[in-house]
Amino acid sequence: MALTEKLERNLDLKSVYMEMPVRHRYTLGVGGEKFFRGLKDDGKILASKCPECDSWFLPPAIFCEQCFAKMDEWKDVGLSALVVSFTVAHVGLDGKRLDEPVIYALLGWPGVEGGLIHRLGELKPEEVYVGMKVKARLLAKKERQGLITDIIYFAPEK
Amino acid sequence: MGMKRVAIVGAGITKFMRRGQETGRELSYHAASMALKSAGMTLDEVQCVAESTGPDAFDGVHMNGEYLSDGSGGWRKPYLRSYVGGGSGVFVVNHGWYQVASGLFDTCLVVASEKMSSCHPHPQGAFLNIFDNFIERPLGCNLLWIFALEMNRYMTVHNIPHEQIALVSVKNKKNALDNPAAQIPEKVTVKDVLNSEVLAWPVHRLDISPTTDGAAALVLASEDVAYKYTDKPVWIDGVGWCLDTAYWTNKDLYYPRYVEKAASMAYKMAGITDPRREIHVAEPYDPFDYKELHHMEGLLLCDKGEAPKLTEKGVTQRDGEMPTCPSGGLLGCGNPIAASGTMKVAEIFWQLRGEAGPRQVTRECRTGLAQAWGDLMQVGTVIVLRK
Amino acid sequence: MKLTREMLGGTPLKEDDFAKGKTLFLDDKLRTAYNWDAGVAMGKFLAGLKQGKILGVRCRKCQRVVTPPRVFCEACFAPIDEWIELADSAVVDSFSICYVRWDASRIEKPEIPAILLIDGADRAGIMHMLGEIEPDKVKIGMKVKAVWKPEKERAGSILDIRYFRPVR
Repeated sequence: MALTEKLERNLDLKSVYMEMPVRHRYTLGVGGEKFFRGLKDDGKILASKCPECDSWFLPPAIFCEQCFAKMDEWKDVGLSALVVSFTVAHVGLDGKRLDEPVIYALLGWPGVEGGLIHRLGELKPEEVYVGMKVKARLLAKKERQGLITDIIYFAPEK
Repeated sequence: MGMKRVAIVGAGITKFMRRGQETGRELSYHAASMALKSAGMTLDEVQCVAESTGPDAFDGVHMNGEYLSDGSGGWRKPYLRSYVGGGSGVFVVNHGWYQVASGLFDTCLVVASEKMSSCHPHPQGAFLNIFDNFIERPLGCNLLWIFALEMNRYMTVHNIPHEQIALVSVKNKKNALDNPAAQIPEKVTVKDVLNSEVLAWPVHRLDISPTTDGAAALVLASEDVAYKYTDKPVWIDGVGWCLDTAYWTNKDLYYPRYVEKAASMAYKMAGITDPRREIHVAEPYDPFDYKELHHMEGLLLCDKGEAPKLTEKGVTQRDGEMPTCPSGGLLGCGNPIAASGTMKVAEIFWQLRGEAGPRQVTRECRTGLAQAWGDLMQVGTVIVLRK
Repeated sequence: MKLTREMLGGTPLKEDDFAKGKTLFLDDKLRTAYNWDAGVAMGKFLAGLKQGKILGVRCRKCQRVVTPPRVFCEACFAPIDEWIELADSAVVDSFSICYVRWDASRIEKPEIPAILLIDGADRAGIMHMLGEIEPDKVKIGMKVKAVWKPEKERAGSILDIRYFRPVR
């Protein structure tokens, strides 16, 4: 409904319902571009290293927020990760109950600070535990777009 | 008064771009790290961070200040974001000033960052709600309207021809040719400006600064430690800010009285009684060419209606008596909303230290001024710097 | 510290970098829908419009008569409770001739937004559109009068006034 129509039909004079007409196109950043190209083109998960702090970080970046040093060293940390924490969602973004619960997890890699948030799949909620070994399942290369959803979910490592 | 003196000891900016690859956080990092490097200060020595960034709706990031903080040196530090629309760029320096002047901190990193290119189809969409939802938005309004209405009022009250106003666009875009950070430096003539597309009369396309991604940063230090970082500290001698009514149709737009109030506050603190003589270089806010003139008058740098004549006489050129916007201003460099004002403060910093290179003004300058404006014709923020 | 391009961070993108696949990106829409409340003063003002009236208020302290109405005077910070019916005529304080929409697309017939100081108020007014006049004939200081929608079409909206036209 056009804005003018909305206002003209508002006989209550109490409130008006409108949207902010914006949408966004986000660039991924110089660091983000590198991470997502690694995922899209090579099917790899990359981390970056701070030379001053002597630590590896996920998600990777071009600078270390802790000491402000430039991070030029990057490596492939592999698709296998550990479940650091998890939650099971029963309600969707719109507040309605989901048909199937969705499991979200914070995933960590040994020797790397930070981690990634993603879904867990191929298992039931009651089977998840902290410390579980899981592995990323990727879309086929031609379907990948350079987004976090190029990883479908993390599934138990058999 | 119990306050500590505060100096700017370093500055940094990014390239101003229509659209940068960098995220807002990466832009903050580039400006902040350049500023720290220029002062020889490490991140550990930064005791607090003052940041400004435009509406969250521009970047499309909720709690944008918190998101940017990692790029602004804010990790595990006392960090605070301030925002007064376009006035932010100068206000955030004032905000950093009072954190140090209070004696609570010896150093402060001030960062302003804007990534407005994310907002589609046009950042204006995020601004539409500045208009009243009931009695203004239904008219189908457009942010250009308020500038056009103000410009028309200013021109009519003082009987100023558009040609005189266009001279500001010519000057600033030309000044920007010497600024490596500038987005669209170019040589234009008054005729080019008047022949450019009419958007909302009397506003033509070349009367307006572009939308921009960019960041700027400054390092502040108290008098106790300033000389540790530089032998040429630039002292913040006056700060001022003032907000006018949001009922913008209830006031006469020909004169920005809120800029005058902010300037008076800063001049009083700086002991300035004759700004026309005592301010040697100025960076007033110029998102539109007429705004530079409007603000010069509000800053009491000349009589009401006199600014266009001074421009015509060449007084505001780099080799003039009152060089204005030697950086190229927003018209030449671009307008990353929150960062523009901070860029202007950085320019005055470099000018007073004699480090502006090809942009250096000819006359001797000891005292400079930067001013920013914002919101619905509402806020004036002013800073007076001295070497 | 003279500025050089090399010192400055920033990687400019070109317009077609997205289309050419040179830059990855993510598109998303902010899910923002609001149900804004008019508030006490605006609600009454809109009700006045439905009746074909432009209402204002007077501050008992500073005696200013203003519109759009408000429940407190922002200058005195005192509550306002005196409502007045103002004229539906005004003086043009400023105007523009606009050829573009907010998203920068062009419109065929220019619109003429104006700041209108409502007669009876103390230099206070509203923004509205001018109509029944050629753009090059508009002057600051012109006297104009509201053109209302017929009563049965009015809904309690600013659009109950179609536009303001010159007083003949």
